Amino acid sequence: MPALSAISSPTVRDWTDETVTAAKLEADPSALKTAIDDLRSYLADNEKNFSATAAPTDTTNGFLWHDSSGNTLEFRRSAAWETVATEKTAKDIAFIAGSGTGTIKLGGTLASATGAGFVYTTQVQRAGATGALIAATIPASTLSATGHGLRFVSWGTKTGASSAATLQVWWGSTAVSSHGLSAASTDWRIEGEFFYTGAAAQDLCTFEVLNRDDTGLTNLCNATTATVDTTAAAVVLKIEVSSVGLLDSIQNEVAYVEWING
Amino acid sequence: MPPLSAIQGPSVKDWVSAETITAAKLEQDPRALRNAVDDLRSYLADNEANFSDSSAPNDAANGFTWHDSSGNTLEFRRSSAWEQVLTKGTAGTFLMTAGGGAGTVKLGGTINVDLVLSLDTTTIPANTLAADGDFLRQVIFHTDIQVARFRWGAVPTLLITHYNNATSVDALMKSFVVRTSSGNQKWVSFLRYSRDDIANTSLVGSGISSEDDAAQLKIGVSNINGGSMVSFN
Repeated sequence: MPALSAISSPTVRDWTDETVTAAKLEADPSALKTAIDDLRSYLADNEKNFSATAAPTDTTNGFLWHDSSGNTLEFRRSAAWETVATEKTAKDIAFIAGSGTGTIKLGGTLASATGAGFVYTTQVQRAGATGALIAATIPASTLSATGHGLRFVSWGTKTGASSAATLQVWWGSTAVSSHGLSAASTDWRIEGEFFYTGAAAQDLCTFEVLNRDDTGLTNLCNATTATVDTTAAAVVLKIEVSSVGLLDSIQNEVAYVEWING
Repeated sequence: MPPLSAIQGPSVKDWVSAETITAAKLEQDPRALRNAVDDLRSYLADNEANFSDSSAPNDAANGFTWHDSSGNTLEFRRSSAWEQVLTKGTAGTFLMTAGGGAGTVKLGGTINVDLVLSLDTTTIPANTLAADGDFLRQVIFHTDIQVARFRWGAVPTLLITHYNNATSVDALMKSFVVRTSSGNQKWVSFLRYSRDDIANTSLVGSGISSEDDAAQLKIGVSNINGGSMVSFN
């Protein structure tokens, strides 16, 4: 491929009152043909190198190259190729943390395939009755490698002071944590993290904060394990009222789920 | 625009000695060459135009980039599909794959880290909470204080006072504000002390507020002597 700068403007003849010869007639078309062929060659090579297993030979800072072997978009900067974050590749890119040699992986608020976020802001109330406050269906394979994790936060209130109550965290078909609410408590917050540790294996920890904690509760924090297969099918993460007095009610105000890219 | 592969190399005539020159013969080669040049010019012009257009380029080979002028995003052609490229101005709408599943992740990050003592308020630019579910998270750490007050709003309103006991020496406070609809938010704030043996009743609190999220707002805490971090999700 000639460099674009090496493709010259073709010379064409200014005819005068002169004898026509084959050589003269052929000169201009031949020069034009050469220029066009050079342009085609340049463009074809450019297009080819846009997506190729090897980097383009003509490498200037600012060039983009689709590395078809790694299926990533590469950007030429400081005389080196660096991967550009795209929708499907961003989670695999290591960004520099500060000015050190450490790197970070991107994570954030979990959403569906269409972008509907796992953020719940509509109040859900359980008045004198048990039942789910929040049920988030986590898509299959969201936790598919060691280090992948979920963080959830849920908060709300308790109305009435007739009885103590219990909130449970469900992961799949198992209640993995139970957290008590003293009868007089009025505000609560539960937070938890789940980490993939292997096929159908997670380490998890959940904890609660109450506006008051003066009854000697012993289940404020729970660190445990679970054996849910997160790759075969979607898994429901649920916050549930498992016990509440008939005269009391429990409300969930907000909950959200984040994905951790460990 | 013809795809590049459809632009053929033009054929030119090989003249022979003593051949009769006619107008048609003289015109043949320049016309073929002109057509090829016009095709190339068209291809290049269309390529340039499609760099920024409301519809994707017709000639979509893997590796192409395209500025979607309707969504105002940079798109990258990979695996025969257009995927958004993470850029400085578009990161807020960027959906990243969550693990190997069909779920996605919305990116968030730190807005401010502050180690100013005593009074700490972070200014939140107008329209930061632009969609329902957008939320702010504030983390505070401090020592040796009696109370910590969580504030939020254009003129930061005191939403909760977390009382401490005299013997507690360290504390961690987290506060959240989430947009529930335009101009409406829910909030929660909690504090963990190093010890809590005086039956505090203000360890966690929550409520609603109605601040105009299209205007500049402030989130903060007073009576701290540590530091704070505010992040957006």
